[in-house]
Amino acid sequence: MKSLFVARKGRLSFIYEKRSALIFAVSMLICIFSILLSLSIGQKYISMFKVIQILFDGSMGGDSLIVNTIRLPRTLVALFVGTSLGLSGAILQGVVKNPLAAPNIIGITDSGSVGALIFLTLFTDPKNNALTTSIFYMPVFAFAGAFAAVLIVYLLAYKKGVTPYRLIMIGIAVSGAAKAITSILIINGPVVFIKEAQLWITGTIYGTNWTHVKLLLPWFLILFIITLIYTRELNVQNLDDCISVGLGSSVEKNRFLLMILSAALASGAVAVGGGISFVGLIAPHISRKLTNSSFGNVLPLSTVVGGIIVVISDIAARTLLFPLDLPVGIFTAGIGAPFFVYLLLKSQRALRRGF
Amino acid sequence: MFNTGTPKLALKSNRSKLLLLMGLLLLLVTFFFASLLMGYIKTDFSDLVNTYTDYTESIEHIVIKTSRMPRALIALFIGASISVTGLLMQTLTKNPMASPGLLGVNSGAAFFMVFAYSFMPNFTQNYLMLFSFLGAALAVLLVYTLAGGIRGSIQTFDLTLAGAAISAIFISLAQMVLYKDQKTMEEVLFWLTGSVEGRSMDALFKVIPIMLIGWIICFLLAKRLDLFSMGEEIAKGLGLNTELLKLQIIVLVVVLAGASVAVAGPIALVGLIIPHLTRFLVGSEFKWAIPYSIVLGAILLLSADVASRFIIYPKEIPVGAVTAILGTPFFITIARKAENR
Repeated sequence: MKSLFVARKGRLSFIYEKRSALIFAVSMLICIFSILLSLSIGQKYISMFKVIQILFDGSMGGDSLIVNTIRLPRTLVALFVGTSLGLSGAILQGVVKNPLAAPNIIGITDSGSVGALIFLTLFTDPKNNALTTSIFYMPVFAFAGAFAAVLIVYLLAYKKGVTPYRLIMIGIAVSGAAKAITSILIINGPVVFIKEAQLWITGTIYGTNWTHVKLLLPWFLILFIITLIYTRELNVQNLDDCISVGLGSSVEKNRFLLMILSAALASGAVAVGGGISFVGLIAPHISRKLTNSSFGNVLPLSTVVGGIIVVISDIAARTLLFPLDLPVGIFTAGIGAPFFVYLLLKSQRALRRGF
Repeated sequence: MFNTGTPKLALKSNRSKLLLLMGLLLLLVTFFFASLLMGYIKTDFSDLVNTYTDYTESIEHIVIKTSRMPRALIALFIGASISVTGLLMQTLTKNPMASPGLLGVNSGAAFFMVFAYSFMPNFTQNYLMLFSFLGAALAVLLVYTLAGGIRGSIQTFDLTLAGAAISAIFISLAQMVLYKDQKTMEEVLFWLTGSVEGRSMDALFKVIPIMLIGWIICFLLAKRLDLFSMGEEIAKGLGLNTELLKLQIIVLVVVLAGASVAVAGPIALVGLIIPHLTRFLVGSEFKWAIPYSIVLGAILLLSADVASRFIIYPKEIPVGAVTAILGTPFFITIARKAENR
């Protein structure tokens, strides 16, 4: 607590420890390194220096084609899906005051998959199982599904305001119902649905291109900036409700806003990447371990950590079993799940203290 | 028992409780026959009688004998067992939201089954069931530890979130296995949502003794469970070995849930709803709560199974999807009520 940066102006207020700033800088470096790694590894190895040259100097023949049209958009999608999920998870855990909450628990992923399956059901030609419209509309449906679910959850949880408890409980209920609808839609449709739906639910960014980046990037950036403005409120939310009210915060309004922020971020990620799991759960955990539990420190760090996790998982997903291109969700779950259990078992007491 | 308020309808006298139980049994029998007779292939009562007296290879007879009879019996036994499991879990955790589905027990068992099914295809049904028990036990252990159950009583919120997290882990792991093994995926898709369809009599006969023994042990423990639900301190003061009872409950939960999942997959929300319905009808005295749970659970699953044949007729959907959708409003109501932890 010796050395703090303080920046205050109007509604904005940041207090930043030097140590946290250092950790953030290091994680940024790791993030950039993993992006470069992702750009250089693949079917054709392109050295990192060359990648940097390509990025700054533009055209360099065939390699620049690979980097600019295939690897860069995919890597950026991985990055922004990860950052969105990491940030979304950190916000949600703050709002419900519990470190076990994650965007997929309140039904975002399952409802997103209902949206995606509705799209497949509506636009699949039963004769030859071909899509009758562009696959690019699928994210729109997934997003609508995910976002609608959050509104439903909020509405159903409302009883003179919402409490974290009701949000989670109703979220679990809605996500269970969404799962059931998903399986009905799968069974109702042709056999190919099983594979397509399974792929979507596991979470994949295979075949993403610049269009996806253009959709996701502004969405993420806008929400990120709004979140930074509300960081202070998130710190207050994390206190007991009585204290927050006493501090003069309009708890209910801010809780709604923050939850919508978290949901919007996760919905964006889910729309593009499907049900990539555990990122929203473990990124905030790692961040809290690295810094303290002040959200001014946790939010940006969790964002970057989330990005790193997905970028590295995607590298693993497309190279480890080359030429198979596995869904990235398998790796986030495969690494995330055991890691999460380890974290929980190791720091059961610390878990409570952190909050 | 919980802060859900005294149930308004709770019957007082033993006689009225017995009468209602008889009535419910009658309803159970009705649904059982409905399950045998209703479906895509039309059959009537004489077909049913003839199937077991004068069997010809007609399509009606074959359907009744090889398809509908097993699934009706499975629905009956599984529905009853899941409900008892839910009742036990709610008692153990002193928590109105506890149920095998919410606390990850179902997903744990399901993942271990998928794993065994995919990697060890030569295993017989018996071994597969062992895996189911193993998964259920592991899940109970993890969730219970995570939610802080070892240190004392558990808060609903922690328990639910721990359950959801552990459940998510097992589901993801199962997805990994299934992604690798597309063939298994298509085979277990129905089962993974919870389904009583397409299982042979043999599969059921292996678990029936286990389930019956489980129910009987429950009955024998009824008095102690009553004491336990008054609060651990009181129960201890009255001379109850609470640690032993807790262990007994956990073993029962693992066995009953494991056996259910092994046959019918993870069926959602039955284990949550039925104990609440039971308490609503007869209060929380276990002497009555156990038989009521058994009968009500069987009725619920039988009726849901009949419904599953007609929702997107002529295709069938897994009964687990039906219970999940029908149960969601109940779930939400219970969750909204049971907030006081």
